[in-house]
Amino acid sequence: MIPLEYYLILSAFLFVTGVTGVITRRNAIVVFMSIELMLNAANLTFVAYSSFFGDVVGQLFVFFVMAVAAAEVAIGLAIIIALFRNKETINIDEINILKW
Amino acid sequence: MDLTNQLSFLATLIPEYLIILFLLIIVFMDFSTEKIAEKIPAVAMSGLLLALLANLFMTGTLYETEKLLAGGEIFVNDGFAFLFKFMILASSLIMVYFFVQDDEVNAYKTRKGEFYILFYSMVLGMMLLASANDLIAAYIALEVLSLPSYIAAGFLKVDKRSSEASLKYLLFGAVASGVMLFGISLLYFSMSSTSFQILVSNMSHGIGFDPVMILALIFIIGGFGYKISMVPFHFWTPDVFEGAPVSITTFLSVSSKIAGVAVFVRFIVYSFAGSNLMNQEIAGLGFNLNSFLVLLSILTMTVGNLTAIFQNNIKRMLAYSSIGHIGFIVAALAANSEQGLIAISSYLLIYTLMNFGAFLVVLLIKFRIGSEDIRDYKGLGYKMPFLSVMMVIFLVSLAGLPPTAGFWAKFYVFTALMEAKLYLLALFAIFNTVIGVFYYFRVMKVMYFEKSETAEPLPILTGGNKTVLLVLGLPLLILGIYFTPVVELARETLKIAGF
Amino acid sequence: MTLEQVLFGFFALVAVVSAVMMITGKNPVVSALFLVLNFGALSGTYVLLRAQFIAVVQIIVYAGAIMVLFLFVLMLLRPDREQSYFKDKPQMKLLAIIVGVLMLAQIAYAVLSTTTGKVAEEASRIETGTIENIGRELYTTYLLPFEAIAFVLLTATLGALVLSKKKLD
Repeated sequence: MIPLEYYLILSAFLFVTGVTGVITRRNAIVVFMSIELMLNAANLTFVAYSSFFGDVVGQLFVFFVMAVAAAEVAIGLAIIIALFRNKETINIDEINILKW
Repeated sequence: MDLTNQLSFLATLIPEYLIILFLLIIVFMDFSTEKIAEKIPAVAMSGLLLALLANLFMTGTLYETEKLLAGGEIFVNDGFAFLFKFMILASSLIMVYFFVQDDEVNAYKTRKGEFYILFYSMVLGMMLLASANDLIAAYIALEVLSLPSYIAAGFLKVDKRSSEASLKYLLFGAVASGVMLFGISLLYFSMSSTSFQILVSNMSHGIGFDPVMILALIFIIGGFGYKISMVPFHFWTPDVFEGAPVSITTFLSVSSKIAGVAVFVRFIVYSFAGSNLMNQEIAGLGFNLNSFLVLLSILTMTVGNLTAIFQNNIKRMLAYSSIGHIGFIVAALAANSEQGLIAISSYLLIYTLMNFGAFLVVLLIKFRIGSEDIRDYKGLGYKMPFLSVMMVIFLVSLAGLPPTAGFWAKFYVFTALMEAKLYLLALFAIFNTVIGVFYYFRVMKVMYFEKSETAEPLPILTGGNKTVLLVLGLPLLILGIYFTPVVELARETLKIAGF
Repeated sequence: MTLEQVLFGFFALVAVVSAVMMITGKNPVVSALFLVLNFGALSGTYVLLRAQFIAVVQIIVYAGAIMVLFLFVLMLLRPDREQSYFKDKPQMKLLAIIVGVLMLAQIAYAVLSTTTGKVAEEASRIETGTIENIGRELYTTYLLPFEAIAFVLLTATLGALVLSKKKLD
């Protein structure tokens, strides 16, 4: 039997890794992948709690999150492609007509 | 909820059904011939009008269905929800007029259908957000609203600024929702539920704040704060507002914020207010949730207003000014009283009118002089007298000066703050009102006291433009003299909500 | 050591290593492949948590659909190897690591200091994650959010269509 804490620490690690990726990477697609990592960290916490205490709501939420994430990725990548057509770059340092 | 209750609850969702029905109608209209597709804006408008009427009708029957409002459900339709849905639908109705006027958007003729479908999805998302009573529901409703907004911000896909705004909005939005989701997962872990109301009942059973809860709350407030662009989660606002088409900017600054405020207020009020948790010290830090809100509010209004002074692009200036207004709303929330909630509702009602007005003027000017730069507004006061007079009304109201309704909106926030003995916050609010006067008057100064180099006459306004401007502007003057109806409306609806 | 512990150790290790490799890798395609590995490992932990349905969906939706989309777009755009953020400011790397560790420590402290209730029985734990159980909740209590998801997907389809079609109209 693995203690619940182990799963939670793993999830916290993945979340922090995701946040670090978002902050340090310059490629918009990789930033987007780091965001997926953050979502997965949250999913792990949901599933862990849900499974340890027999509460189905957590797993249900994970199901919703996956559907939303899929939609978000489709839209995000479409936006990245539209931007690439205009500016020939997906480096977020070069996306600077509007000052940040 | 037993079956009869469930059914009568579903019956209160008629406005939502209407929105969905018209969304599908628009989908089919878009598929058919061009001639039919041209009628889409009219159909969109009538759909919203029907939903608005249905919503008003539902408010009337609310008193009989009070038992529906018992807590613990994922969506609730109480007076609070109906008031916010009213604001959302009414503002969306005006939005359609903006879309029709916005030539940038209309340049994409064959994309008209898609545009209105996205718009309807946003409306649906906002309505769900107004009645969400569970973090799962709030998260999903937030996404139903956000995803179309990202696309709409980048709708002018050949315009570099528009695509850039869209990408920034998307990245910030996705990060914010990811962080919020992690916060929700932590809260679920520590409270074993995601319902707003179970949170409070769990916590009032002596559980109090533990470290996980504090982290979770910070993350969740961050997620909501991003949507209403509360400092320090506001970075996307100016860039997106500047890059997106004017009509979408208007939508993001008015309708989308109303919905964001609705869910944020419900989350804070249902989870904490009413119990003593709002003032309970967090884990021996000498700090409570209330002072956290006060801090956020001071930051939001000060940063928003101070930065607005230095802006030359009017959309950017209005973006920062809207951040400042959100500061006032958070201040009223920090007052943690019924008075504060009434102040929030009436503030938002007035905010809708005046911000819409200001943006409509910006839009009309943009397609006449082709610029969004404040410095290009020279001499407009004489070239377009009617438009400029209306702009003065909207700006004076935004600044919060009498004799406009903007004054009373701010006045009620002050009253709530004084009642709650938050004197420091009240002081900051006054300070910020003064800054606001400064930069709003700068626009008027340019319009009236600076000479324009060119003397060529500009295209005149159509009768329709004038009517809509009057519809937005006159209430500000009338309510400025007699404000009681707004407050009474807010008080009545909140009474149903049981606050 | 039981088999469960061994498996958990394995999956956790793979997840951690692949996550770190993903955010440090220079080539976006390599990053994407590490992310797939990470999702696979997470799916394994879901099985250990008796969440069969979620584990399967994780593979189908995340590792399958979403990552294929990522790889497809990467191939379409063929971005250059990105210039590292730390190239001209190596001290920032240390800062990033320190901030990351601090944040991790904070979350870990918060999580560990919370006392949780009694763990459910093994039988009911297995029962929780079945398709039947999730489906029942989905179509009763959470019907409305479920319907709302339909509109998220509709917008996604439309949005991708509107934005990625090349011509002006």
